[in-house]
Amino acid sequence: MEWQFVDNAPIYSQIVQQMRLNIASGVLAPGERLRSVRDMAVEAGVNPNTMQRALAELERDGLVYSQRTSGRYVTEETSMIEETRKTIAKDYVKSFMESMNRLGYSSREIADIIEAFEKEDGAHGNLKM
Amino acid sequence: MLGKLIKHEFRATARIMLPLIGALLAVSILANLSMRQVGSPNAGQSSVLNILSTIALILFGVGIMAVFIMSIVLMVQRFRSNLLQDEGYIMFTLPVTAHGLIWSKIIVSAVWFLATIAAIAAAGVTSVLRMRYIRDLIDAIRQALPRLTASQAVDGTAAVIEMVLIIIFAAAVMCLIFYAALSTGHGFANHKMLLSVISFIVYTVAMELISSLIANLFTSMGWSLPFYNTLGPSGRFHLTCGYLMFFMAISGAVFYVITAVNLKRRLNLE
Amino acid sequence: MAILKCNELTKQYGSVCALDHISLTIEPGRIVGLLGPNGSGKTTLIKLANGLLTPSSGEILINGDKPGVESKRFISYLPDRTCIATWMTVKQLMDFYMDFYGDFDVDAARQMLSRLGIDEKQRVRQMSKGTREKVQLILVMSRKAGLYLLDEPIGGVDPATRDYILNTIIGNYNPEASVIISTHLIADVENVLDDVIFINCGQIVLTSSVDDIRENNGKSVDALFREVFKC
Repeated sequence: MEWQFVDNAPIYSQIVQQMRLNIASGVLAPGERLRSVRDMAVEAGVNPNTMQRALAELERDGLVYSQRTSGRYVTEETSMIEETRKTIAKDYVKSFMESMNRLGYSSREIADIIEAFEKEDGAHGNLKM
Repeated sequence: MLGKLIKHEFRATARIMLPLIGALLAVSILANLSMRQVGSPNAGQSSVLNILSTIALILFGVGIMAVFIMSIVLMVQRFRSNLLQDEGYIMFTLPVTAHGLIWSKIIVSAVWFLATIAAIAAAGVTSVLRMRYIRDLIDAIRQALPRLTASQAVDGTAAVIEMVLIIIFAAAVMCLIFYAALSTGHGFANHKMLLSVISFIVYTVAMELISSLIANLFTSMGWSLPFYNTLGPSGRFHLTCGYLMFFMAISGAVFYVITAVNLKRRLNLE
Repeated sequence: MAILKCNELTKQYGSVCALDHISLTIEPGRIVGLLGPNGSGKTTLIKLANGLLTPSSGEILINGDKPGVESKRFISYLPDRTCIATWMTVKQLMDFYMDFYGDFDVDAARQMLSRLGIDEKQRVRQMSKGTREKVQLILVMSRKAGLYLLDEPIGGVDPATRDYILNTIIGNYNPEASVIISTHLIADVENVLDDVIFINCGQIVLTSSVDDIRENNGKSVDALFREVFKC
């Protein structure tokens, strides 16, 4: 996993966000076993307490569950993963729309731009999601 | 923990002292052969052999000096580099007391001084060794002690033990003067070595002054003390030895306290 | 019990005050950054905790004890310079640590050394400066100590070594123990810290958790540090 952190938000909340994204996008498969807190902390180059705090928050949200003896796993409830995916998508759209509105585009114009973009890039086969 | 400190101190010093002593003993065998050559009736017939023999004899002299000087330099250097320079960061954060550190250094240095003296003596004997000399030597020692007892009315065995004790005391006191001076000088922020040398001079002069003061006191009134006159030569000898050991014990204790206080309260690693 | 506690701790060198009535407490399980410009009193504080210096006034307690044999058993200390004897081999160094520290985990040390490809028979003298630093760090981190005092562990090392050092610190983390890292290179360490202590001219300027700083100020510890210590 690649970890990237910005300066203006707590590390643990950035870990939570990146883990949610990885789970929603399937980088972490449903039911996949997570490595130990220490290993993940070393990989991300963060304090183990920070990693612990992030995982505890994911656990509270139900995206991750822990089994006393064998460690932590990604949830197997696909409905919950799907819901997370939708939430993230909504956030992306929201911030995209805000940016476009700031540029002065109306919702209708935005739809046109997206359509044109898809046609253009789709023809070149460049659009990768 | 003192045992472990001593073990590691030996490990650090033996790598220098053992090869040096070994080399000295090896050279003493060479010197032995050389002396046979120089002293043999056909000396002067082979100039090459004579030159080699002379070189071996010079080497032998240099070797004796080297071992002797090295044991003193090593004593000073170990204290300084191991405790007062960078390695001190490790030594003073070990779970041991400052006393343990000082004692381990004194004990190991004293052992090396004795080993040096023994090695030089052994080398000296080796260099002049002939089979008949060994017998002579053993005979000489066997006769010397009773002769000493007879002539001076001194118990020879006791005298030898006292002399050995005095050597050990002297070695320990010498270590402690150096340690006290080094630890005093290195407690300052700058000119650590210069101030160590000055402290050494001050301490040595102070000790000399006090010892001569006491000696004067003793001569001026001591000799006339009634009990002294009742002592025979043997008693006077033991009294002198006892006094020497007592004086060294006191001065050793003073320098020990100076060293310990410096290391505990004034430690100033760079 | 607090791992480290200072009450009105003061250290004067002659008339210069290196630490001025400092009071602070460090709890178990924390990785704490002791941050300040050069000459701010970081090393003095660490030396007082180690018993390498004695306080002018006030007190410092390590796991409830004044600095002494007990506290030295409890603390694993990385000085701000390489101090391991250069004539020794790695094996002799490990013997030395094993003899004096009951908590020295020789297997952990061997594992870390072999990962770096350092031969146990190698003498310190034959090593590069960077390798010496790593060997010293491995010895310090191989102890299962209660308090690790790391004085400038990443000063003057290349980025790869810095990552190695920080990973070693995180990888040896133990929830019962605390780590104090003193440094002025904040950006490099801030992701591994729980708490920070800003120190300047012998006084504590700020103590906070890293999360709080980012949450409340919306900026990194490094950015805040630059603001606080602006020249």
